[in-house]
Order: sequence, then structure tokens, then C-alpha cells
Amino acid sequence: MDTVQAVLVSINDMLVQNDPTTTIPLFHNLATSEHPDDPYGPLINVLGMEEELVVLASLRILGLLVS
Amino acid sequence: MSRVRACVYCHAFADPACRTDNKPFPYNLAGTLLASLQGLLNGSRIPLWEVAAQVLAAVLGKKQFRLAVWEEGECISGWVHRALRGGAQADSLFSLIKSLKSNPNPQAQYWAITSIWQLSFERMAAEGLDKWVTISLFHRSIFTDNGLGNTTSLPF
Repeated sequence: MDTVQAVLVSINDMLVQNDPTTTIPLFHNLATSEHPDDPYGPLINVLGMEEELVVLASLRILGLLVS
Repeated sequence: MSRVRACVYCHAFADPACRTDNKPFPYNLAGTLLASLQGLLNGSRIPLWEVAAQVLAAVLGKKQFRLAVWEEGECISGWVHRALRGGAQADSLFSLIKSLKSNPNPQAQYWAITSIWQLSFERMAAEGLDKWVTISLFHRSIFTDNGLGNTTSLPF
């Protein structure tokens, strides 16, 4: 659980603290024919976790990536 | 060049022009995301409600989500959809107005109104919203009664 939190916080830092015009396209480009759900799939999966921080952090990242 | 320069200073959710994912959000995942938002939006905890409302406002920037939210209805059933669509619209609309007016947090009201506004970009939703002329009354009452001028942006 702590690992998930740490990863989500790191992703959030990458998206917020750096220039979003360069960082966010990197995440968008993760989608491939083998993994068409990336980068959204793993973030959607953790929405099922009960821990509040994980849900909120993943929602926040999803909002940034989708918008 | 000017677009890039503008984006350096923009708010995280404020300038989708340079960040929007051109590919559609995976359709098999959209339901899970909306269900998660629905759970938080219909809950009673204001901090969670606010985050969910901000995320909803962010994803409503995509046509795919505007249509999904309006068609599904469940995502915002607690405060927008149930009030503006379906059977007992009048009572629900008044309850929406009441909840918005009685909500002590201007941030929550701001995001609720933002989501309604974004939904109105879809013709189908706009026509559904337009049936209720009282929507202008509820906007006016919120702006005059609760001081939305004090609303500030969260540091996303």
C-alpha cells in the first residue's frame, strides 16, 4: 500500500512541478497497441482500493491527464 | 511558441489546449472512473466531494465524458442530473438549489456550477437544462447570497 502511495505522489509531482506541456504528453504517449489502456488503466485499477489517499491521488492524476 | 509560453504559467486544469489527449479515453475504463466520482459526489464528506467535483469538471472538458455523464446520469445524480432530468424534476431542482445555497463552501458551489456549465456545451444536455428557467434564478441566488467572488483556485 505504501508503494502505491509513493508512486502516485511521485507521478503527481512529475505532473505538477515540471512543465506540464512536456510532462503530460509523455504519459499520453505510453499507450501502445499492446497496452492500449495506458496510462489510465493502472490509475483506474487503484480506484478500487479502500485507502482514501490512493483514491484521491489517482483521481487527481486522472483529472490532469484527461483534461 | 506563444502557446508554449502561455502554458508555462497556466493553471493545471485551465489550459487544455496544449495538453489534451487526442485519443479517446478508453471506453472500458470510463464507467469505473465515473462510478468512483459518483460515489464521492453523492457522499457526505465535503473534502472528498470537492476533489471529485474538480476532477469531474476537468474530465467534462472532453466531449466523450460530457455525453457519458449526461446519458448515464448516475454520476451526478445527487446534485445535477436527478434535479434536471427525469421524473420528479421540480422537487429535485429545488433540493439542488437548496443544497447549493445552504452549502457553506463556495468552492463546492463553484465546481458544481462549472460542471453544469460544461454539460451545457452538449446540445442534448443544454436542451435538458434549458427546460428549467429557474436555473438562472439559482445562479443569481448563489452569486448574490454566498459571495462567490471570494472563491479561490486550489493549487492543482
